[in-house]
Amino acid sequence: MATVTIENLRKIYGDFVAVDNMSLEVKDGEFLILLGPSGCGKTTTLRMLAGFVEQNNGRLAIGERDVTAEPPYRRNIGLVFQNYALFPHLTIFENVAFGLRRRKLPEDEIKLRVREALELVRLGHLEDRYPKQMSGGQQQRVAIARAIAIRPDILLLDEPLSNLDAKLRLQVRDELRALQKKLNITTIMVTHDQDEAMYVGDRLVVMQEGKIQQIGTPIELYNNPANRFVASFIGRTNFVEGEIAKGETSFKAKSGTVIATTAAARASNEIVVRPEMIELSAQKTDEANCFDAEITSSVFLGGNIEIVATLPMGDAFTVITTVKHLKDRGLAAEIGSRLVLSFSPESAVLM
Amino acid sequence: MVQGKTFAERLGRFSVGFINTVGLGICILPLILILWLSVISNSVLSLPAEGYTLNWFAEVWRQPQFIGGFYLSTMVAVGATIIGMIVTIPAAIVLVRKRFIGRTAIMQLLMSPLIVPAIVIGASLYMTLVELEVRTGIPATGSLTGFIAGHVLLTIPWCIRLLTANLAGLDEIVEEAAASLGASPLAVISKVTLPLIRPGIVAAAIFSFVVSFGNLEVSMFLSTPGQLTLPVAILQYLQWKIDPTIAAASVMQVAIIGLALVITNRFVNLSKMV
Amino acid sequence: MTNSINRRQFGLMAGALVASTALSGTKAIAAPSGRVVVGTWGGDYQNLQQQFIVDTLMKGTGIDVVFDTANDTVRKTKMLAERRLPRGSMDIACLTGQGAFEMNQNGLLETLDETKVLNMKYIPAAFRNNYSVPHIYTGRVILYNPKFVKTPPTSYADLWDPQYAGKIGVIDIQYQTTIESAAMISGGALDNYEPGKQKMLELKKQGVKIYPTNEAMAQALKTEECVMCIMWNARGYMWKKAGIPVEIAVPKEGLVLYISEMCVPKNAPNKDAAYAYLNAMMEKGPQTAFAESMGYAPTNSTVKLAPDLAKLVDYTEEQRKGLMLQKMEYLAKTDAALQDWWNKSFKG
Repeated sequence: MATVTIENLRKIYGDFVAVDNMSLEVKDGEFLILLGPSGCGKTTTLRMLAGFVEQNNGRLAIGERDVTAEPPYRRNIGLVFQNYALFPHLTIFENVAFGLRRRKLPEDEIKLRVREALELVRLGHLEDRYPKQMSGGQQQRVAIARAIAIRPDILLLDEPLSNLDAKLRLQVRDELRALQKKLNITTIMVTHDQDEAMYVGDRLVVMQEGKIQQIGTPIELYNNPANRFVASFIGRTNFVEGEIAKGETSFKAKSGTVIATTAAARASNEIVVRPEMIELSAQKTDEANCFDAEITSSVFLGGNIEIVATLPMGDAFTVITTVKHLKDRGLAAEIGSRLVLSFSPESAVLM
Repeated sequence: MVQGKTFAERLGRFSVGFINTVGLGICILPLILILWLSVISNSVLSLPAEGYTLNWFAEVWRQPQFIGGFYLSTMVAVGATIIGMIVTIPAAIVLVRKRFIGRTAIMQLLMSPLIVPAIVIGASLYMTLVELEVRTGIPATGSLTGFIAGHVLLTIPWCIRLLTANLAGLDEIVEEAAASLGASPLAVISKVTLPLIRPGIVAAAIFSFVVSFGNLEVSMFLSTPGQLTLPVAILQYLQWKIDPTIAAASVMQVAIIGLALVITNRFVNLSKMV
Repeated sequence: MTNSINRRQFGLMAGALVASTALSGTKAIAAPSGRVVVGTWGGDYQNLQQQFIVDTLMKGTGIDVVFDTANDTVRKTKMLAERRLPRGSMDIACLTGQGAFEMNQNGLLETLDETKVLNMKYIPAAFRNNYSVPHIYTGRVILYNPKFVKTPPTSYADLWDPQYAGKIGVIDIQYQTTIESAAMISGGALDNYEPGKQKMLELKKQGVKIYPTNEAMAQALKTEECVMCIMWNARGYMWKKAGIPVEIAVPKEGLVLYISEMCVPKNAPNKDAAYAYLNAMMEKGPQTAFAESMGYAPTNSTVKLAPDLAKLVDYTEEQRKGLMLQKMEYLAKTDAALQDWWNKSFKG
């Protein structure tokens, strides 16, 4: 259990800046997510923290220990990889025991801790098997057991769920979260999947082109994205371009539509409206923002239905709703049918 | 798989089977021929066979050069293989895992004994040893060290080729996992890398042994006077006689190597390795 | 008591000294000992030396004989490579006549001290030189299968007899001796092979068979695919012993000799022991063994073989008049061109 301090971390490959002067403080026991598209530098950051990549500049500390110059085998970290990286020539037991043997623990202690770790991931009965005899999900759980058996200061997860199929992914995701809470171990996970990030993460670090775009809880990021990138990355969003000056309350969209907002803290030329904040109805409501619209796209997603409704001025809004919701309001979901969109001024967030 | 029943498809399957049988036969034929020739009673290697006898195997035992040759060739081959491995395993690890200037050039250099004609290797090694002895006074020519070193040179390209191929297939990520769990670089190599490249090591050992055992040219030049390897002994025997004794010696050589492979198979499943 | 030795004591001592000198016989005062390395061909050639020289004559002499087994090409290469070494790897090198000549031309051989190899005085003048000791020799003869060749051949020309066309064989690696034989019956000489080339082309027209090696020829003779060929006497003797149906005929053109020589490199580490070995090599025991076992005639003229054996491997007084040695300088000069002609014009 420890905090993690990253100060001015920088990594360059030739003239490509992979990680650009990154600084971050991870709280003790926190589940932190490094989130972003491929090439944003999240994996490079994790690997520098692990010690597999040498930074060009910067300081790394785990708890009180400065590990900037330490090789990976002295950092006391637990690592879980995307493709499990189990030792094919060792049994499950020996795989989990590997780190403990390196630490020269007595045999009884090793047996105890291995069994304990395997129990935590519910694989105690398979300790004599070999990795190739196990399914992907089981292998990943063994990898997790192997990492926690050594009781590391921190746990680093490099896209641990990406190789699993959809259902398994959810299952292991839940187990990971439960495990992390139970052990209260500081964990940093890299992923490109924002659903996953929001589900397990205490705080999310959204990265792009080597820089941190925003750090915050899922709610903070969702409701108050710092910029367009974060807004579009987290959840689905509607963007409207236009202009508004500081202090004003109405946003003039490029199309001419006027949108009511709360008082602008500064000048801005874009607003963001979350799809689920948009209300659909057959008649006009008394909401400040209320527009006639026509359905131009309709996709049935099982639980939800995603509709794109276009205003007469041309602005298109994506709305996520359910079939039941539409039915209750007497609305049809077909393309071409007319309805009314409405949303509060608070829902129109200025960028 | 459901097989097509048209004439063309049947013919195709038959042709493939036929070609496979012929190919396999061509590979095995020399062995069968040698075995046959070792038991015919003709005193000159020729066909048709006049009769059959096992005398030639007794004749092999009677030739002191053949028996000594078997022994020496085996000892040298084992020694050269072991030393070759000790030298090449670290080299292979560095060549595959590290990027450095001149890496490709070094790889080519290490492979070069394969493309240089063996007689050139033998003669020039001898000349090198002579130079060494002239300049430093070290009795290099005809020394056992020089002899084994020459054979190690022969094993190096095979070890490098087979080990680097195996290592390249080994995902670095497993080694990273080991390091993250607290394994020092040495521990990673001994506990993870080496066990996982066991197929490559076994294959390299087998090829090295066979190449060293069968080598003629390096042995001719570098062997200590009085020490004779089997291929040289067979060649010298042939200078004067052409009876089936050499076929018998060859059968014994094949049998010994075959036995070595069988024994190795008890420890390591060869069909999965090579 | 005075320091001087009295006469009785002196007499005893002198007597002892004379007696010990007499007992040591013809050996030098300091007997050769230590290791001697003999570079030799292996197989039977080495085994006979082991049996009849090392295990018998050299036993108890304090000389330890070690054989460096290789073919003569390797031996010559080694000798050339190590010429600058103060102590070479061999004390004795077994070479062909041509090989010994070459090595001597290169200044690698010790001029032999006949006082140290006493048996050298028994070598016929025709074989003598000062840089090597001829060990054994054999002549180039005609081998024929009496079943098909009813009259024994008397000349190389008999191979061109049309009645045997298609059943005559020549050996690829013996191109040089083959062309030489053809030259001898077409107006050429041992230093002029040119007429022989035309003669060979005639043979080619008659459908001569070309075999890659001596062994291939042996097989052809055994299966009677071939009934006559040119070959060294000794090898023919060995083939006959192994059951190949051949008889030996000496050509009237004369006997060109193959001599197996032994020489001492200038940087031989143990020359005294080498001389002792060379001497032992010429003794009756080994010389007779080589004749019986491999069909080579002894160079020690005092060694007389049993009549039956002598008939097959040695030569009568009359035949000895026709003994000829190859012209080494001519061969060295023309070999490359000869090989070229053989490959392009004769085989091609």
